[in-house]
Amino acid sequence: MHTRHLMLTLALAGALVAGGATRAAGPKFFGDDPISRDPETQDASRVQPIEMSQQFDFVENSFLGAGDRSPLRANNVNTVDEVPDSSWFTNRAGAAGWSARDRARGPDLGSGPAPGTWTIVAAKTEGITPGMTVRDSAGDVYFVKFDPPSNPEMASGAEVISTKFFHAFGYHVPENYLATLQPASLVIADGTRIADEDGRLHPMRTKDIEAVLEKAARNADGSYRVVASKALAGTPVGHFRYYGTRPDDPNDIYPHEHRRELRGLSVFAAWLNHDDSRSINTLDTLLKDGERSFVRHHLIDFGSTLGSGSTRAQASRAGNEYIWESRPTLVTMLTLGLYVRPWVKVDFPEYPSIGRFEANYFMPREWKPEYRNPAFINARPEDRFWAARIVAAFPDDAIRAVVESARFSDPSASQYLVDTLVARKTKVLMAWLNGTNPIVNPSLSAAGLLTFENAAEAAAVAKPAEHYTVEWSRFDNATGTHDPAGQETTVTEPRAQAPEALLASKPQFIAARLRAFRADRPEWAQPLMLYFRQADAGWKLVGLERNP
Amino acid sequence: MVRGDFSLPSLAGGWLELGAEGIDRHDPQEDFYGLGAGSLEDNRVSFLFDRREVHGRAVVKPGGGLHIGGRLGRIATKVGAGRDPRFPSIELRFGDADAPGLAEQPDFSVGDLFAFVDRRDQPGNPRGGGYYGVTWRRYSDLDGDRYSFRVLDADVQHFIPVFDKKRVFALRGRVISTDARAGQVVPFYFRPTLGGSDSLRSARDFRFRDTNVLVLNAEYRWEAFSGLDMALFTDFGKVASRAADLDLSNLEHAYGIGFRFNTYRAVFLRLDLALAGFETPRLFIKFNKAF
Repeated sequence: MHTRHLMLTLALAGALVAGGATRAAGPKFFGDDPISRDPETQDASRVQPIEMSQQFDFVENSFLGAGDRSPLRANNVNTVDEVPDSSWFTNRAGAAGWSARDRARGPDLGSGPAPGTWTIVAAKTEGITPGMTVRDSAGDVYFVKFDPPSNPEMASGAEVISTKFFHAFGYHVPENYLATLQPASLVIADGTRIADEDGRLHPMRTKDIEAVLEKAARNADGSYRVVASKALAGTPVGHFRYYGTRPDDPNDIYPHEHRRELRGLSVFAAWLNHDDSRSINTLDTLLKDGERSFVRHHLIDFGSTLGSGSTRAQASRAGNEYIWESRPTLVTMLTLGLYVRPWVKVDFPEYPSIGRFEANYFMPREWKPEYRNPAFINARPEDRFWAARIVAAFPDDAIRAVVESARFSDPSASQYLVDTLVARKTKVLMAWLNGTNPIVNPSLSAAGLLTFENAAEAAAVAKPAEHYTVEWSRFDNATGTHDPAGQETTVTEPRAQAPEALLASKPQFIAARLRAFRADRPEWAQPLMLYFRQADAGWKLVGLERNP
Repeated sequence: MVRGDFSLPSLAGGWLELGAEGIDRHDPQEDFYGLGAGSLEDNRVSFLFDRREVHGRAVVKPGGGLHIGGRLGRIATKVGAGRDPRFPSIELRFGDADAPGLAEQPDFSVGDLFAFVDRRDQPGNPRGGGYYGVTWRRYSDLDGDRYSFRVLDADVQHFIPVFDKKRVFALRGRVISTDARAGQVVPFYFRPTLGGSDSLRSARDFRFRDTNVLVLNAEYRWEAFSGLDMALFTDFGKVASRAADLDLSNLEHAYGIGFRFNTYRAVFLRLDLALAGFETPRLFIKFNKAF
């Protein structure tokens, strides 16, 4: 086993036993810290497909307390509190050359299904979401999904927009293309079978296609606007849960409820109203990397995001209350319905292609998915701060570019969606860039001048701090001990000079403990620990702990 | 029950539906309390009621939820000794005079004309819109020309939503009136009934039976959570031997509370508890909506 991998595994075990520390005995920082990629080096070829019951997932998460609720810091962050690239996540926000155009292209590598005949290889008419799996004339397989007749363009628009957002955030997602389906171009592959209402399979016939199309919004020319979701690379091996680990995947060592990118997903989900963020809308695939097999973890199916509820406009409850919540339910029952939940009274503008999506009532801190999600529940202020910074890195022009990729026929609907997303973004940043110490981008010059920025101020969701305090120390990496250097100092600008005596002692590591102060932002006063290692050209940031 | 249905639902561009249906029903424990509003609980008996029915139908659907159509068919009926061990069989307490048609059951030809407008948002779990229908049906005695009669069935349902359809006032009125020419009689087993989970919920199923029935239902429904609606309901109804007596006097009533487990599209479990009224408390557990 790779040394770091082994150390991380042991450290994780130690952390779980100790209930706090994130590293076992040994140096706090390794020579390659901070790592930018998780060392997922193990062969996962023994992974087997996992079946999951949607109903049990609801029961387990709603009533059985699934997942570890210990107040642990996220396990999979590197030493500077960032998420390394992995089979779960790729850092894209703020990456060099990552333009609005890149965001609008999203994960798409091509242009969607090839024109010509689409051969149906599977379909479903049962359930509430009709769809079919087709092989295009180029031989690529797509799952085709439709808009409901009541809301043309809605589900398909939400799907392509949110796919691009979640891709830009850093998640693995399918290539989802807007396409036009011509019924005349459909043929049924030999041997294709379809289940009837009772679940009995029978050979698919033309009338089964008609049954699927009957539930879909049709264009005036008889064609259908669809989302064509390209089959993911690799072999599907089931959904991932938002807690625990996959026992047959040796690389899956961090309990999912303690993964930063799954905790932080709660912030993205709130922004985009992805209330359907649950296991059923994830997919693991098994891929090859040379001789080694590995599992890649995807988010899929964004038809129930923004104002779309897939088959109808989103319910007003979405994002505001779990499917099951005892208190409001009992109050409503006992008051004979005279108690009306406040979100019931929210007005939504009439945009059939948007559905129900608004920013006035939206309260990021109160936002909820369909039912409890262990990773979301475990999210700490520093997890949400991490995600909020990614949201902050999404400029308004990029939001517009992504929305326009949905090609809504009503320009006012498109504009409304942009405006709503921007307004919700501001609320998200207001809530979570201010939810903890907002200091970011620290740097220590060779001369010992510490500079940093205030993420909340930079995002224009807070006024500047009234002052900052800094406590310097010499840090012993071997023992993990601090030797204070002078008294706490106070500065009013985001810069501070390290004590001369500390620099003169030529330490290998310098640590600084920073706090920000503003009367109306008490959360800012939570400490931020910084660790700098002596490097050739000065000092390199090797450690950052928000709320240590 | 065995039922077969063949349908061509979307002919002429979706305007026309043609279909044929066959039903074989076997109900060995139907309840009967006697005819009229004065029937007694102590007179409860059971009877076997079998019927085989085939009919064809044509329905025109011009749009806007309007359906206009007709059916033609034939029904074979058989009434026999009830098999509910808790109660006497019908022939032990009633005769053909107070249960017309008990002695003999002819085959019938049946023809009806109907028209309805269905504007409910979700027919399986309506929260808005309405259903407004009327059916005129004629039963012709094919054996002895003694039991020929006509039925007029008017059913009006209206749903008034408030607060994003999380609260719904549901109203319903239904009148079923049968009519036979001189020398003819409406057989007891085809007479409309009052009582049960979708009419008068303070009374058992089929508690009252006569040639005319009036039912009024009102419900205030509210969503407790996504999977459960609750309801306060009240029902009023009466049976009468003359249509002219279907007024609002001397109505039986029911008040109660309901729990409806549902999806957006349908009610799949309903518990309705009548707390006051004719014979209460009375609990109904059903796997469908009230109306």
